[in-house]
Amino acid sequence: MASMKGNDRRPDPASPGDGAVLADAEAGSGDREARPALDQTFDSGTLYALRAAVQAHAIQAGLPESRGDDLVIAVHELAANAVRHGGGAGRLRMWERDRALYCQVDDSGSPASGGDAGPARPDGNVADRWPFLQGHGLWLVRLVADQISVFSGPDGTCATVVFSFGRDPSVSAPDLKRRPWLKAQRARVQPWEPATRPLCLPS
Amino acid sequence: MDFLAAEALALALGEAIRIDGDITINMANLSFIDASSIRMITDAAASLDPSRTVVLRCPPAIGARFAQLGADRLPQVSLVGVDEG
Repeated sequence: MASMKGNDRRPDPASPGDGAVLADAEAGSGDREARPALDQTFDSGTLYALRAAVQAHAIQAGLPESRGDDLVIAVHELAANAVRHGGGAGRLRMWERDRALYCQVDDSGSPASGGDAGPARPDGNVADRWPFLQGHGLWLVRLVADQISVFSGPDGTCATVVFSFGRDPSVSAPDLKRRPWLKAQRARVQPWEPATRPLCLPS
Repeated sequence: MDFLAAEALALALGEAIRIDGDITINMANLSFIDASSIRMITDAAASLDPSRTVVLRCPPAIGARFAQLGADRLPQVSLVGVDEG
């Protein structure tokens, strides 16, 4: 996965603190804002299920529908990067904190880099009849997310996106009904500011 | 539709490009499309002579994604909104 902020400071998915927070969220105790919690592994064959799960949790958390769509595509693009350019699989964790949804995609612990990433990795030059440019996924993620943090290390890449409940969607519903594409055309690309600290699971 | 369908999408676009005339891509029943698929379609459209038109029929949310990636600024592309599925 391309890294926008490369270093090896990454949250430890296996740390006791992480597990405790997720357990609290599932039990509805502890940090009262840490809901809902989603912890799901994925590979190329389960991206559809991943998108469905993210959408369901976004709705449950109260994110507006169009913002939920933004969240789904952001998570998909990060997961697709893990599948295509990481080890072929990864893990998504999603939690709520401080009036925002955090989604963390981690490709560490997946099959070793360079190994068999499973079927269907159509990275080849499938569109050799015209110039086809890859690599717009992260650009789109930066467009729709309120914050993104990417940490790469020897074990893989961990990317976290934040979606605040207060922000307008990148495409608003009324504009979608009137002139759907014009609103999106005017959508501003939020200047990306490097995170001042890792966006870790709350501990 | 996501990058896993890239091979089939590329074949379909390649065939459509090969045949003269305008191209209509009906995505009325599509609930999701990723950046890779959008780029493949828009890059294919951009490769066409401006005298040819690619009509993208899609729900508003899908059309907005195309616009976010610049498809509506291509002279060859016409975005047509349709009700979802």
